Amino acid sequence: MNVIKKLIIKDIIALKAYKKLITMTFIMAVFFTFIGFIDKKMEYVTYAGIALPISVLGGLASSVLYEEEKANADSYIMTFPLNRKNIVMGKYIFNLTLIFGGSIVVSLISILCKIFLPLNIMKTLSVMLLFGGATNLLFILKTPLVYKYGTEKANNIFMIILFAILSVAPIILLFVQRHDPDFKYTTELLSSFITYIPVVAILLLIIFNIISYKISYKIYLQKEL
Amino acid sequence: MDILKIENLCKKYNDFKLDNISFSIKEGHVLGMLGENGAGKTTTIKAILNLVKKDNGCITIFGRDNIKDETIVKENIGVVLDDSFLPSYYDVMDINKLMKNIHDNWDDKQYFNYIKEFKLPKNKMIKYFSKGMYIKIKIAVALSFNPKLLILDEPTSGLDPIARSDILSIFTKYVENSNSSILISSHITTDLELLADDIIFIDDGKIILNESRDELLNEYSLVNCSNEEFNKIDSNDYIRYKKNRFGYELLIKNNIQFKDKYEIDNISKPNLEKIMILYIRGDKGECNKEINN
Repeated sequence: MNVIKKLIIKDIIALKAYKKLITMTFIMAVFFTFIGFIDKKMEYVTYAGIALPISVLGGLASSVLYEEEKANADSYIMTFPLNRKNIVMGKYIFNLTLIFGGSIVVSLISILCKIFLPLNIMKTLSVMLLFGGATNLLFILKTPLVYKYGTEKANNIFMIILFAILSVAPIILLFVQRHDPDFKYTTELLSSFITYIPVVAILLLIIFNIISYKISYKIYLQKEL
Repeated sequence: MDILKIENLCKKYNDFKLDNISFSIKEGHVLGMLGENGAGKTTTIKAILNLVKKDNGCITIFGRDNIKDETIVKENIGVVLDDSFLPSYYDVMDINKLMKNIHDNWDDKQYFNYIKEFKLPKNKMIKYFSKGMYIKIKIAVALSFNPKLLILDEPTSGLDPIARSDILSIFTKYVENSNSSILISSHITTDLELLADDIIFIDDGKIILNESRDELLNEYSLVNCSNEEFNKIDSNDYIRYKKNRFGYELLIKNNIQFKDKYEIDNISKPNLEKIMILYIRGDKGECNKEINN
């Protein structure tokens, strides 16, 4: 655990390169939250004040990985008293740390907002989970590709995969509509599961993180630096 | 005690093969690896550091396996790699923060002493460093946690002669004061003449020579002779030969015996560069001699 802590600190130092982006994100978040206060618009607080910082912070783990690859720093980092397992695990934990860190900050903002605005805490938590989860999902889908092919090629492959998934979505919708034209049964079915969705989503994310880490580690173990 | 021991290291690529590399470094010794670009020096270093997977062979550092005990052994290895360092947005202060966190025995004071000695700016990102400054920061980092073994891949390439001389003095002092060992790869032979206790020549993935520097510089001799003189020389009496426009250059080992036998006076002491060129580019054997005639 001590080694992972060392790696997370290393990556936090590396965030220096994104100081401006992080500052801008939080300025925007505070600004939109402020606008939300004045106009009494909860959406501003929920989406700009909560979703934006979590999404940006969550994406930074991939950026740090890219910067290290660009500088050919992989080989040098491997000369530290660390092994490949630590390095790969460190990246996954760093991504989760950023998302949780962001979530804690926006939770505090939300609690403050709740004093002045009728903010729906459940909705806030859902948005947090949705955006945090989506950001984490992007990371865990992309990272094995990054370890295998490098960031640029991985981005291209990832875009193709994303495009393929998005192309399948309308087909599924059409299929559902054919059997359930008003989406009545589908809505009912989803409603019956809605309370379990956050728990299932979290469990799935944990499983996906473990699978993605194992694939990345296996790839990195074979990688010649 | 052997600080580093490599036995029968093999690594095969499509177009290159590291072939049964074996050598060792004793405590307080400096081993210089000489060879052309692409001879296998960097691959050997990368195999030691587990950056590339070896196909065969055994590597022990401080008596421990370099892979099984990877994190333990790396705590005491300072590394300068030719083509890799930290991302360019780090500055001297960030590197201190990072390394303090990475190495348990990181010495801030020593690090900043080197920074001062190398005249490196503290708050400038390394992407704005000159090539010389960039090499110096790598060296400062490698020395600042008192490693027992330094692995240096072309540490002085790109430095001007004064800076090179300063860096070599620092390495020499470091070995003298800490009794640490150094594995240094270079194609600047004069650097190794000044620093190394032992020298290995690597050519096309094989070690073709492994001797102490003193033995190389004292026992080897260079003979310049004419075509006629060369024809009279037994091929067992020289190690390598090379034809030049004045005749032949021969690398020999026992110059007194040679002098008595052939009565050739044009014998001099070669430097490492000459020995390396003759070993790598020179020919050996009667067969070649006949073809040349």
